[in-house]
Amino acid sequence: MTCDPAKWLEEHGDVLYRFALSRLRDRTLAEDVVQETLLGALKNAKDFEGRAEVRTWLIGILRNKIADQLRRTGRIREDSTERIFDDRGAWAAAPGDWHDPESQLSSKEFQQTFSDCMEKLPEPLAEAFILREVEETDYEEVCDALEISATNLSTRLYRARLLLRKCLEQNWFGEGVKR
Amino acid sequence: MNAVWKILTLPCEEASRIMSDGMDRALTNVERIALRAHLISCRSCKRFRKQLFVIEAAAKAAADEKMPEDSRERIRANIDDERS
Repeated sequence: MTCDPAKWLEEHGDVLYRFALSRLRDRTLAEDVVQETLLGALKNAKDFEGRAEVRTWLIGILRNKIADQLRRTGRIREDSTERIFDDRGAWAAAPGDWHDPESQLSSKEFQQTFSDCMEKLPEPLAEAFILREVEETDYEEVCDALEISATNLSTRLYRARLLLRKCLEQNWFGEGVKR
Repeated sequence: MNAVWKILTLPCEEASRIMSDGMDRALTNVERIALRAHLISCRSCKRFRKQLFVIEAAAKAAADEKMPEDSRERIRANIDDERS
């Protein structure tokens, strides 16, 4: 591999920055961890040896830097134990009728609410959802980056979607949704 | 028999899981038929299906964010320092 951190910054900077920003919610911290990631990658370039995609490798390093940062600020989120389904597998709280959601998508306020909801996800779910749905990374590449099986990834994505749905209903589509 | 049973008795929890999986892979025939049958009578899951696409679209919109040029410049300068 040609060891060229300037090229990594060029090609993967936005992905790394978005990923960091959505977890840390602070532009200065996001910039810091992206820089630490690239410098760390430069130092350990010999460990890489083309085993994975460069991006997967960089995301792996970034995840550790973010986890350190979250630990420092005490912001590790546990998975909620709140039940979404009852014992018979029926919705504990039935999804409401979202009024005209397509027209909300371009609103800045809606996007902010969506970011807030992603930020509230427990770390393993957030990572999976961001890499797969925001960055549209290949399914296998996400499994590689997170070191999990395909089934495990589908479980995380499912759980993330359920929690995001609930969060959006509570914080955007409102209590006034039709039942 | 198992497949028929699944088609006839699919609970919302499994239906929602199948719909979520369907965002990422092709569903099996049994899954597709069971889901279709479930959705005929389940208003909540029909809503959930629409909401999955709203969530997907919202996630794509979140990818518009770019690294600010001044951040990029600072990082580039620090990388150059480190290498010299």
